[in-house]
Amino acid sequence: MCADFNGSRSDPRIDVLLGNPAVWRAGKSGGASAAVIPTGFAVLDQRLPGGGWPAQGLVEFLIDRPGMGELGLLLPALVALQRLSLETWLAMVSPPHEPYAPALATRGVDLKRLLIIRTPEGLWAMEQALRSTVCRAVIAWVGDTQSLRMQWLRRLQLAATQSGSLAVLCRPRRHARESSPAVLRLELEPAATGLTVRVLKSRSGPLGSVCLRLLDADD
Amino acid sequence: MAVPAKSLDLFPPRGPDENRDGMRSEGGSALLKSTPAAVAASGSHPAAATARELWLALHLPGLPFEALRAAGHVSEREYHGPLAVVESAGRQQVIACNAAALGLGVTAGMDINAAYALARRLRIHERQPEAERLLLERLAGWAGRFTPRVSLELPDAVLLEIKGSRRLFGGIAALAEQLAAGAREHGVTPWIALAPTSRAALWFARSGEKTSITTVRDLPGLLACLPLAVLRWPEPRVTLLASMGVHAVGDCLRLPRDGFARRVGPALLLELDQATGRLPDVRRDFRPQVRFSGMRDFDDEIGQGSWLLERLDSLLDDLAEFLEARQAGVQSLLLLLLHRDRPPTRQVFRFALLATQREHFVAVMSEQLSRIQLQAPARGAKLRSGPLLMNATLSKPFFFATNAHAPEQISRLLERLQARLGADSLYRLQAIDDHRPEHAWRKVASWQEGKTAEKKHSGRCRPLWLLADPQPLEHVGGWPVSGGPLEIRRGPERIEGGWWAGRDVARDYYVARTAAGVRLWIYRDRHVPHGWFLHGFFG
Repeated sequence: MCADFNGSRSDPRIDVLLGNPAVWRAGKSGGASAAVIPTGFAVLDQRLPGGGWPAQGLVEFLIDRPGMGELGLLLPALVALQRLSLETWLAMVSPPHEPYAPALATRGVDLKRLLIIRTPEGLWAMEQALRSTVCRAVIAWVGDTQSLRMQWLRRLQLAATQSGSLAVLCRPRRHARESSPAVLRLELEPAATGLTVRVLKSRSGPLGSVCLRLLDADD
Repeated sequence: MAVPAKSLDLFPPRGPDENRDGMRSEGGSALLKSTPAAVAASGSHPAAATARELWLALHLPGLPFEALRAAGHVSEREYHGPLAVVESAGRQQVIACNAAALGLGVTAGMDINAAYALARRLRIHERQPEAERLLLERLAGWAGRFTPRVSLELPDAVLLEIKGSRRLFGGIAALAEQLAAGAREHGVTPWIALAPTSRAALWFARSGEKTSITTVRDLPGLLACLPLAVLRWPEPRVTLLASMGVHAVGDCLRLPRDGFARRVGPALLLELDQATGRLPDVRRDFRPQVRFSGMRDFDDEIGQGSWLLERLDSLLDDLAEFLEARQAGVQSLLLLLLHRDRPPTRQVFRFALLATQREHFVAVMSEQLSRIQLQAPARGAKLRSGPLLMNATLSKPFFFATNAHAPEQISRLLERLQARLGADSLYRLQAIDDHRPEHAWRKVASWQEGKTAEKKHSGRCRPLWLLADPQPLEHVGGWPVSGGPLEIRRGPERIEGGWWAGRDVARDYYVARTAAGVRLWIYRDRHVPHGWFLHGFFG
């Protein structure tokens, strides 16, 4: 039985198979089937496969000084996820400073459904939060001192793929050259006008950088 | 005054014409019959009218060894053989022994060596006050089905006020029979007595005579025969009284009151007055156990946390049964692991959702127990529950969710994280309407329901990140720098206040930008010259 890529297929089961997000088809830039969460930044959406944050698979942010823009970058998506359903929780694992409640509330985050976890076992906590599908977004920060083994990255990638949640891991920029199983790797750098986002790895779509204007004090 | 009838049998053979309560008053006329006519008659009867209360006392002379069996300290075989209990390892006197030991001539108060000489197979155990109390409370809780007024008399008696409820249970004799049977089911053998005052009932019960008195008028005469030993007065007082030739309660009652109060003490005079009904005796009601408490000894010593769960099996069964019977759940459990020569190891388990079932306990406990580092092998465990919460609260959505599974999922997640990381590792945020930046938020426990509705904050510009402690900034010519000059983008916003709380705050806040483009929230402390601080990031 042979599938014809131009349309008529003899077996509908092949559609199901091809619809599986685990199946990556060469030549197709981001399948329509890959669930994405719009980032809230049109410029960035255009760059990302499917037009948003991947809902399956680990996203890696490489950033020098954590707290310099990654939260502002994610916030529109986090708020949108929470508004999607009343059962949606967000989790932050080992944030670098205190996420400031008044600012988050003003930006539309429902604090009652935001869980903060502070622990040396951040990766384990992230995995658990992803496994429990109730957290639709899990952001974890890994400190400079912590070494992150490939085995852990694979575990997180697996948990993120199965969960269908947005999984973001923030690591120091010096790891940018190391290999990683993450589906999307972005290097973040503050810029005069906002934030420069450089796509280091993406399943499809072009690499390169975009500059974003983050919504904040200057507005 | 006529000689009152004494020592009425509580358990007379019951015939159709027989007085149902098995009670006779002075003169042998039937009293307290269960027929409405008799009730009306007894109400007008002068003698019956005086007894406002009727107390049934259950004294448990064998509690020390019965509690050992209930807690699993002695095997069934040991229990039926000669068995004696001593106060503690150091003390050499037998304080209680079972029938098998009694049969061999061992008695309470005997020296251990003498006891061994009489009974070579005698097993000696240390007393377990906690197990005794546990058993007593179980019995009292069970007795609550007969009357709401149940009172504990530590260490070894339970008192029930049954005036109002005796007829519901077929009269005093039938009630006493049910109580005795129930007590035997709990593994204890009670001595029972009935009297119009609780203290008198207790003393008669301790004397071991099946006494049933229903009128206050009879009390002094009947109490008179009791030996002083049943009063459990302090040893020096009893010796003093004995030196005065006082050996029975009646002798005390004959002494002049003021002299007795002066020489023996007003507290003991009060006891006598309360026993005879001269003065009221207000007892604290036993409130049925609102927490689970259980204990097990392990057959062997356990050195590894991962093996513990298996040994706690039967305790968890008991807990689940306890909760099921009350239609309740718990949110926390305390486990005490007992060691030979060390204070117990404490371990607290918390549940985000009401835990009612064994599987639920096991899921949380196994995670924590497998990681526990035991300082010494455990040879037993005590399990206590937190306050019981009614199951009804379960039906209320816990986290404002509409999906039936979501609250359970988040609760399970919180539990799993908490079990491994500790409760302090998880929290949520709450915004508070306070203009001082540090006070405008706080942490809330992850499992608490948010109490206040969040206030919509004004359009004040606030950073997404706040530093726990403001960091001092360098300054050049009075202006702050951070790895290069800072560009002030916005400000100042003056924030003052807190003087009433002892923390006087006078700050001018600015939004600044570094050369690299990082936006900072900084302030100048107006109390300090050139006092610039970094307080947050807008990232």
